[in-house]
Amino acid sequence: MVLEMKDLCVDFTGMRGKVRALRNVSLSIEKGEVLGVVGESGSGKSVTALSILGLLGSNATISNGEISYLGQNLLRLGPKEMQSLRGKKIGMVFQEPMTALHPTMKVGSQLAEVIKRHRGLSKKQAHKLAVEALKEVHIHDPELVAKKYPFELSGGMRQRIVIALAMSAPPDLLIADEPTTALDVTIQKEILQLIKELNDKRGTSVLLITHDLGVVSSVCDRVMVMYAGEVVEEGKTEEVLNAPSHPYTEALLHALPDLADPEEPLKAIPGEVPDLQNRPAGCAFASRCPKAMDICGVSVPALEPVSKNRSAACWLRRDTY
Amino acid sequence: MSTLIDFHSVDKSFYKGKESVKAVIGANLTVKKGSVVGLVGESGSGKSTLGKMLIGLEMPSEGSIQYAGAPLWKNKKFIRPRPGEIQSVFQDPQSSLDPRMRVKEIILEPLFALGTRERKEKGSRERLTSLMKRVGLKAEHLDRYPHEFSGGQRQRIAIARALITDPSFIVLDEPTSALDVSVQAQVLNLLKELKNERNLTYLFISHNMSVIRYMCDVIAVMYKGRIVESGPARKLFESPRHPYTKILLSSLPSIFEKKGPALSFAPPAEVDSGEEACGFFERCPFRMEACLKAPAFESITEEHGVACHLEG
Repeated sequence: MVLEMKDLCVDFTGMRGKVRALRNVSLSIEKGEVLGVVGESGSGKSVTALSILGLLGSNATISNGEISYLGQNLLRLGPKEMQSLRGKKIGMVFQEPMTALHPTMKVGSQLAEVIKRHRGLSKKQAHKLAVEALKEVHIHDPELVAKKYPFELSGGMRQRIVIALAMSAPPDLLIADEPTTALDVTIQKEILQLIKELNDKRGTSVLLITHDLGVVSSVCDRVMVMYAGEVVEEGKTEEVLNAPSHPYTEALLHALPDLADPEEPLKAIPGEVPDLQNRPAGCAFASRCPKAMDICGVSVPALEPVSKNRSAACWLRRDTY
Repeated sequence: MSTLIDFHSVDKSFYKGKESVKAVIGANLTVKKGSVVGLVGESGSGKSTLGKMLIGLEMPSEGSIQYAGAPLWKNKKFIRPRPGEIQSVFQDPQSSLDPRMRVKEIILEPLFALGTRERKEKGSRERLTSLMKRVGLKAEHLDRYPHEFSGGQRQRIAIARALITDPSFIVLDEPTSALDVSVQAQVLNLLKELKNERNLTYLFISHNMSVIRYMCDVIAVMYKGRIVESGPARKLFESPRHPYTKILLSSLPSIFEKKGPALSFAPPAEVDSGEEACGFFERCPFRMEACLKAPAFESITEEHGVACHLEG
């Protein structure tokens, strides 16, 4: 087990009081596994990633739960220890590659600096490895690209460089938060292939955060569906997408225009994601759920196994396994 | 169906000092009345520029655009057919709604282009409340500010603002790209219903092929400023002809099984292609010598056309 999170609760304190952004979120990633986290905006995907990285802002408190990374309890580590873990043991890739790169520093130097720091090499050795690293993310003519500034490169190239940076230590876990959302579909495909390739070749585990079920289906081994700060379903990607257990997953799949008949209206999910400030009692999805029962409005269902490889948090699925 | 809009070899160049960039090159496109025409392509391919020329925001450098038989641009001036006849909805409702205006003011603002009598008529209280209800909002929302709404609701406000003048044509530039899947479906449904109820014509710009397939009757695929293929939506999806369209379709990270073999870009060409070459030469997996001279856009059938030497 590379990463294990148990019953994590995260609260944010704002002007209007406390908001619970994560509610009892548990997840685990095995070595070499790609876990996808999907959900709509505000569902808690990014907060999950940030809490693993220890990058939650000062207005956030972790009020419950634990995160263990290779047996080490991350929540007990001090800021300095977290700093040495980030980038070295846990790589990060975010959505916007332009903001993740230093704008006035040549790409090669940025990479060399990271390599120098993590591996304690000389400048010359580091530079050589930097060019190697560029080659590994399939950049044509790495020598030339190493001498360029980020603004001279396309979005896809930049994201490749961010991935090269994240993988340079090399880490055991790569956290990628919407790594392809800012890119064109054709480039998105290339970047996803690259992440999958590095995962296969090096056995790096990946936590991939996305709002796109298509992305999940093309790279993830397992998927976790989040809604309003909770995990509502978790299981093998193929199984979850082919036969969803939670009504929310099902509704989300049906709302996609991918296979819809243009003559028929799309099966939209009525209403909107609840305001976390005024979270309804009971299941957070109940007000939009076509299968809601009396109990759903009163009591929150726990995430429990519904079949061999699958868990769901839904009253309908209780006692079926 | 009669022709509403006709692009005839439209070019658009942007200048910066002595340098120039051609954003749109020789675009020919016909939009029939009552249809939805989709524009797809990667960022920078010229989709939005094409749309902007229809609402008077960008002037074409060459060529002509006809709207209902009359030219839209004459002597570098935008000739508005009728105030409020053409409207637009943009991607980001956060930045396209004035944060200091109340919803009511936002929706009524386009009416200032109209005469006093018409303005009063179209901006009546009953009309406003029924329009709000129609787009899925409530009458009490009229006195609120944009920040009090979610992304989906803001896009509904933008749609209401576009509809207040009773337009016949709307440019929709990535109208659902900033929305979540569940909300996107609601907005797409609303746009489709409104189109049928009011006999509207849309130019629908999007980079999302699934959305385009669902919404559009006709699709035009753009690459580096050129329309490389256009045709009926179903035809284009079933039998794409241009290599770029094929790659675009095979790149879709669909949750469902894909048809046809996977196809990707070729590594950059070794030879310098020069100015004459096909715009896709650099990355085309099927490039050949003939492609050093750009292919003309030719019809395969009456509605389906492609610019590729392979289809000669």
